Amino acid sequence: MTELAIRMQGVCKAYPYFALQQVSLELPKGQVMGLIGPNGAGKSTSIRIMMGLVHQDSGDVEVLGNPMPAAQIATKWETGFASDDMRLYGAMTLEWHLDLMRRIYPTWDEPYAQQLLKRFGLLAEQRIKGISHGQRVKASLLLVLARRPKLLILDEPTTGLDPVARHEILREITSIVTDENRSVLFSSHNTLDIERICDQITFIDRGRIIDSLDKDTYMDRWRRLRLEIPSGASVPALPGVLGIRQTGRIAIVTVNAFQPELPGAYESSGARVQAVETMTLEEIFVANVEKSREEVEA
Amino acid sequence: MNSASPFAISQSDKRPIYLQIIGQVKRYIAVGDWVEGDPLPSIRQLAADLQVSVITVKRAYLELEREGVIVTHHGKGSQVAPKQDLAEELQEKELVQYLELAVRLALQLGIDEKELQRRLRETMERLEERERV
Amino acid sequence: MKPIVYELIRKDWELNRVAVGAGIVLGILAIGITFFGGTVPAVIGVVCFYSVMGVLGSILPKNIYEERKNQTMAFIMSLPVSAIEYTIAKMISTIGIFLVFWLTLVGVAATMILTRKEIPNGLIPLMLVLSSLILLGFVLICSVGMVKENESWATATVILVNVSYSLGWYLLIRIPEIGRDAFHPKIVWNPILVTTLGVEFTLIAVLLGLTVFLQTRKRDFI
Repeated sequence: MTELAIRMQGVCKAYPYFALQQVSLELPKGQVMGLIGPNGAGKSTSIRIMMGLVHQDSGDVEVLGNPMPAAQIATKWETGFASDDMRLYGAMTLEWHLDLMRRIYPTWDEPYAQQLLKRFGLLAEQRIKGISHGQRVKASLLLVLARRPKLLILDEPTTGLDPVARHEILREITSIVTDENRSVLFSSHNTLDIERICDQITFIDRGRIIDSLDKDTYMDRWRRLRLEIPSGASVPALPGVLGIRQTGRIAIVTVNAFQPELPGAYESSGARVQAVETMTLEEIFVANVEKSREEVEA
Repeated sequence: MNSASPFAISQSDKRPIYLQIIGQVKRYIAVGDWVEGDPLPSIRQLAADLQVSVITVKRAYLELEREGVIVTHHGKGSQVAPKQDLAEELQEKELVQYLELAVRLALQLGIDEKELQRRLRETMERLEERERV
Repeated sequence: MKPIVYELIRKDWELNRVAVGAGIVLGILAIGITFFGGTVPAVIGVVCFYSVMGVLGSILPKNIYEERKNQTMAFIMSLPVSAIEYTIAKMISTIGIFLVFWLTLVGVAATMILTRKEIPNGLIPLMLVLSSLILLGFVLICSVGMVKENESWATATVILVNVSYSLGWYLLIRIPEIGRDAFHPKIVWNPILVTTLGVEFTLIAVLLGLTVFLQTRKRDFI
């Protein structure tokens, strides 16, 4: 039985204009999970519930085996959290924040902290209010990384960063899971990064989990088929199809439950399959969201 | 065997990353840089070095093991398979792949067998010429 | 006390270093004005004395509701601390800083009253009652700020409290036993004075308890 770093089961949380409904996900230890979804989908809320910053209305949450929010202190000792909308104390220096961390956390790795300072190009003597957005994000991450936490939960860690900084953050994230007892969960709009470094992908939209799977299974489910339809005919309706776009005799079929028999099924129904293409995570993202918007309008 | 990690993942390479990894492992074996018994980097370490997900490297290693290119011993990691002519075998497979590709392209361009053979002879002569100089 | 609670208190003190220092200096200056000269400086001094405390009482609660406003709340609550511990640390640090001023000013004022012959010692009980009212007002502002975490609520309370001081003092002084022995050369305590002080401090304790209780029932920190 794989140990889980994070387990959410049927989590619900209601706000005046938004609600998380039946959110369930599992992150096995030693893996990286990417949480993707449009703005306002519920990524930040879900993350805050994992950290005990927000209490769920109903549903089970266990982080590193600790029931949340009941055992939140135990979780917070071993979990590092950084979010896009979190701020440090502007009037104080980075060194002051480092010192605070040193005094609180016995797992603080000072040599590693110094290494990160250099690598991230940060000056400990600088006041927080004087540094740029990108540097502030890196500073928040540094404060969390140098503790060497068992679990890292990050809300949009690379948003607004230049390519070099993004690359550095991704490097640190992937190096964390060389230890199979450490895990990472992060939310991001950068589908390229998520596609590349995540073992698990969870897609959330309008407060509901659309999919939560390991990356290979998830990506394998999606295909784009290019069909040539005999004139006058329409594309046959087959299971597993998310959407069809037809112009004249050419149809592009987006499939989200691909079976190897599908191209054959199309061929037997008279359509000629010109190509079967895999889709990038970005294309999957857009297809998912467009579909969900259509359903709302209907 | 070279100890520095010679792997490199290209972002512009459209092939899935696990295929790129498989391709590179086979290449190193094919040219003789890696020989039987040589250890491969641990899955997690390679994933971190390449900044890719562990699941991707696992998939590549699993596939390589299925094809008999590497062997994995639980707790000891993976090594190049102790097959006599592994290098030659891989190069053979590569040759077959390229030949098929050449034939497919020729068909698309409308080049028939005789013309293709002529071109093949031409290419062999040209390469021999280069070797001599 | 858990180390994390200590660190949070220490953090607030470090963040308020400048305010603490400035407040003490100004307060002592105000007291100085009171006791060097005639009636006019005395009145000016007293007004300055209580104004300094009043200003501090309005500024310090910012520490409480600005955690959320400045978005540092997430940073703090991601540290291994519970809601209760955070609340207690916050109240101790904020009220503690105010107490530093309050005790300093009250102490210096009492010393001056006792050491200078021309100022009747009878003023001391009255001074204590009036100063404790300010302390009570401050604790109320902090409690509202803590529970509501809202700048509007805190500001409204600050205004309400500041306006009530004059009314409060007026009502208190009208009670004959409170001001009766103010100009007596010796300190004179009577049951009404003692009870008033007792009520003031009981209210402070009740407010603190209520605040901690309400905080434990909070479910969202962002």
